[in-house]
Amino acid sequence: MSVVWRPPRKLVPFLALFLCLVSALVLVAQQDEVPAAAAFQSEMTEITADVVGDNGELTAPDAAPPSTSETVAADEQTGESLNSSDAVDPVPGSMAIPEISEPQAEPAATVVAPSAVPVVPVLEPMAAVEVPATHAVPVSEPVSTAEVTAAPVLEPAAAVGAPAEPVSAATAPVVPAVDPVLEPAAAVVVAVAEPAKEPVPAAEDNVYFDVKRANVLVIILTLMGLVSYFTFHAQRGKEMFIRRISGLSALEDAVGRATEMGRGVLYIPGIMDMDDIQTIAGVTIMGHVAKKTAEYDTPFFAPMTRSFVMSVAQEIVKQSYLEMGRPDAYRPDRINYLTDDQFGYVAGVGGIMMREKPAACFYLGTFYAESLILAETGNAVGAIQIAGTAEPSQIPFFVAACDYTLIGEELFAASAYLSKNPKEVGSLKGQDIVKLLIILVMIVGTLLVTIAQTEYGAGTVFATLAENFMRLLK
Amino acid sequence: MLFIKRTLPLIITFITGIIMIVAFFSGPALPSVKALEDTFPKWIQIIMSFTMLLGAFSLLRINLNKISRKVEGWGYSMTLIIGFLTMAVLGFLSGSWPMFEPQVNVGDKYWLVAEDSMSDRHVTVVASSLDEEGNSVVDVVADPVAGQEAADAKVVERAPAYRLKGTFMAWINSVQQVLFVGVFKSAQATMFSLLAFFVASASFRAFRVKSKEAGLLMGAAFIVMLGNVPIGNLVSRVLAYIPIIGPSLDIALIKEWILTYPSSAAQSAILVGAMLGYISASMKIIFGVERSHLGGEG
Repeated sequence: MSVVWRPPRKLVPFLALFLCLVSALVLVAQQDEVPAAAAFQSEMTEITADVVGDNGELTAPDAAPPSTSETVAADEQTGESLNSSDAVDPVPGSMAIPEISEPQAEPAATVVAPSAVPVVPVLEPMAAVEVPATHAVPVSEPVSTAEVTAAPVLEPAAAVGAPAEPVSAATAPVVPAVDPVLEPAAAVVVAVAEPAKEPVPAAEDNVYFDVKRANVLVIILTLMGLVSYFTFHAQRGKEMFIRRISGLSALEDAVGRATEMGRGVLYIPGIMDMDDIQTIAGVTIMGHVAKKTAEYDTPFFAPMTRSFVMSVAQEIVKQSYLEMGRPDAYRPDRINYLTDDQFGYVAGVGGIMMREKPAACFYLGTFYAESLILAETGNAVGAIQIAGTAEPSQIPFFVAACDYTLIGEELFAASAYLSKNPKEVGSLKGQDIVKLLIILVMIVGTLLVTIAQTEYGAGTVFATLAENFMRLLK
Repeated sequence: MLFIKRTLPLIITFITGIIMIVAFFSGPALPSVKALEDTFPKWIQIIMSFTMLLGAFSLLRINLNKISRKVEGWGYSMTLIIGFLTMAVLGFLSGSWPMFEPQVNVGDKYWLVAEDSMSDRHVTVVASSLDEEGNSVVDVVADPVAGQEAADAKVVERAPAYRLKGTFMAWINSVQQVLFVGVFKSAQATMFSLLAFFVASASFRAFRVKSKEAGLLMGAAFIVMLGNVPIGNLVSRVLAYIPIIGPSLDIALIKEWILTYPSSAAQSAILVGAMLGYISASMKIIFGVERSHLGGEG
């Protein structure tokens, strides 16, 4: 007696709910860090836009951001760096700005990078004072105030301000009035030039969840939740409508035609290995086709380009013949491996087609350049052809050369369509609902972005929403 | 037995799937988990390399069986077996096997095997050293070729030591190159070239205007094809003489518009559906809902 292990189906909705809750908690926990990171970014921009002083190094900003003014004052005395990670981490010395923490190779250029506008003007003043661009002011030699004021670089610095005016104007409202003391300039120069003596772990290093992938998680969890919901209802007997898919409806007709003509059926589950989900979909449909060929006693040929897929396919076809009560009709030598080489495989399949002249050809899986060669050879031998792939570049070839084509998701829906298994039909329904949600999101997002770019939408809540929407997409 | 064939694969799939999902969403604070994203694909490659043996065994078994039973077309199987064994033997021999590598001595003569062609040359080693990476390299000068005038100044060329072969191994390497480049690669290119003819025949059938959709396909394809050939510019110039709408009938611009908007929008729609199918199918496999690939009902 054998026991077949099955996953706890009734617990799947609860599992999905639990995962939703956990992810929501993680997201909420991450919320503390995201605004801080944004603040940090804006401060970086201010520094690089306005804080170019003598020697081409960064000097103190005309105004410190209000959120960090106190920290700046403290830093001025201690010689610590002025950077926005203070806002993230109030502990001095534990600040981490990737750009500034870089080795001293190109400190000035690295810091200037966030503000693209002043880059060129900044470099020229640096040359004027004969300080190499890659030179960092040593930590042990802080630039004195006198040096800073006497240095003949103020004009170039002013010149820097001119092209950067748009940026300055944009940041000006954020920048409060300045402390007139010029020492901050020296302090900041030293601080910026001083990379972290010891690598300080960045704030992101403590993150257990990759926030950038949160949108993927949301989609997966939504899909899981909906699939669980509809599967549950389908199992309780609720009728679910699946639209007619011509290619799959024609499957039985194709096998019947081959039987009537006394010829075989050729099946190709793509040219990729079992780690490709399309191949798995292909071999799944193969089981259904094999049942029909077993029922009608039609020769079934399945040349393979991957030996692993061959092994799986043999098992599936054997099982199908067993289930139909025709184990004697199963011929393992007809499900054979040819070669891993793409065009060698095409040549081999072409040879089989020309010799055996199958009356029905199925191409369901991942295909590349060989798709048209296979389909045209099948057309040349007069076979009815059903193809399906999720490769957008190959769909036109199949549409042009085959009688029926499963486009994209229809390939994955085939198993549910053919088996009418409630679990699979439920998952199909859930998938469709998610697709509907995605379409709605796309429409709303398109409208938001379009409105935000008009004169009526700029600066309104639409612009903010559109910005947040685009950020979510990334 | 059923446990090995059905249950164990389901358990392995479930655990591996969950691990990969966790690895995908884990952050920098879990470097060891994050590293699994790169490690697992390497494991797949290792496992897949073992399946080469499975394929080779299956190929030999089926074709030897055909030869022994003298089934129709057994001559093809014979050709396959001969080709298989020949390429396998030559491939193994022409590789860098230490037992076949000559002991390189300065002053000795060897064949310098060309990397990308079959033009091997007879050379004399003038120096031997190690490069920055610790690999053995040699300085060689080409020996004069019979029938050709010897150059006054001998050019010293540096080459990796493994490219020096004795006469027998150089011969083996040449034969392997002749078969691989001269036969296999050429046959491969021939098959690929057939695509051009198949595109023509498929287009001919697809562009027969039998319905509204076929008409749209035909029109779009005609514009795109015209926009891709030089005569498209000429047509645009001629069309520009049409009053009012003429200047806007730029074939190249219309082609770009078709490719950028309707075509890419349709492709994006297909991709969105396919990606959802990917996720859904993956979930079904991980949670054991879909188990047809293990044989039997899903």
